[in-house]
Amino acid sequence: MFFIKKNNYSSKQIIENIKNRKNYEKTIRELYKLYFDKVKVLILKLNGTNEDAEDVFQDAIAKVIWSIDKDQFKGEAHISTYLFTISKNMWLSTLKKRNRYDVSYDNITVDGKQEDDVDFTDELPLTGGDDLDTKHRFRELLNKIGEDCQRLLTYFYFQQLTYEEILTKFKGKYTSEKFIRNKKSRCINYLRKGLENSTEKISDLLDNISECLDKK
Amino acid sequence: MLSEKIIEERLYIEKISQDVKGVRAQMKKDNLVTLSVRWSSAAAILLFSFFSIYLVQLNTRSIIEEKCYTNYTRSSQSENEKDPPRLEVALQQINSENYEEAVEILNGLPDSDHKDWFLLNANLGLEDFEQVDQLMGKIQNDEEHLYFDQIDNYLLYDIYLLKLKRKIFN
Repeated sequence: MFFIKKNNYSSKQIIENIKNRKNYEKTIRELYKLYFDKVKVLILKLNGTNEDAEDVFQDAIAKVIWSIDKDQFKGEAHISTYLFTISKNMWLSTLKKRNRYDVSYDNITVDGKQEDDVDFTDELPLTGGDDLDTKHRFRELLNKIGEDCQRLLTYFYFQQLTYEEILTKFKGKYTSEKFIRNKKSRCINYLRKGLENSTEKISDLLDNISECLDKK
Repeated sequence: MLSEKIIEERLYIEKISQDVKGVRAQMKKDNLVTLSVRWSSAAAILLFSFFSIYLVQLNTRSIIEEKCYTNYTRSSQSENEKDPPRLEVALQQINSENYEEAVEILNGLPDSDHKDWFLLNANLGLEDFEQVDQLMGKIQNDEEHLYFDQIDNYLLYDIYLLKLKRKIFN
């Protein structure tokens, strides 16, 4: 496997640390120390900037963590290969979307080494493809969605709380579980519409559906 | 139409991304601190090295060679006519590192600014810092003294270092 450096944590240890949230921050730091520079070289070679490299690598780590958290991670390749492949694919998708893609980019190498041709599709999220612009749009949508929506979605999807538990978290602000359920649907719809209508300005979109979000 | 699953995945990834971003920001901050500590340490080591080298090469001889001769030749014209030849002998003794003889000759001479200065140099050669301090005090307290300007901060600092060096190595 290419681009493996001698490190404190083995690939297996990194996965275990992430899974158990043990030395979590240290492990993320280790991933940056070991593999970020390689990804950065790649992104810069492909007409990207330092900021692009930071964004892409941050997303790659998040996707690997998702895969580990959701027990989708098979670990058939070294974790560095996952990070590199995710980063490369995401950046190439970004270039395609921006019409700046060149076919020669497919065979790009770092340090003259050809990456392994590994398909992780069934192990990773967003299998339909992902790019930086969509990621940025989603983040923007999320920032505009309102604090209650953000909290509700975090409780539901990230902390996996039940509607009843979520209702308690809002301390009487909302009257019933049914309302929470409806609010969640409206929040999701807003995000979905925001992503589907990628040409529409977020502010216009928000104006159109803000009524819907605030409805009780 | 985008499925709820995709939105869910994006939400999850976005949440993790923010955590990762926080770690990365902290990393950059720590790197800056580490970098500044490294630079400060390097500067301190460099400064200490220069100081050590300066201290090692510093000796009474180098101070005497730098300070002694020129002043005498420049100002001897105004002094007592009898003294210059004996002062000259004392100076030669100092230059030959015969400091005890120089002190002996100088002690036999009448008081003068040159005598003070040469005595100071001879005692410096003998590393008699008590006498050196006494003579420096005398010159420093007299603004009209011919060698008043010679007692500058550099000389005071060098003598302080010489005392320090003697303490360290003896």
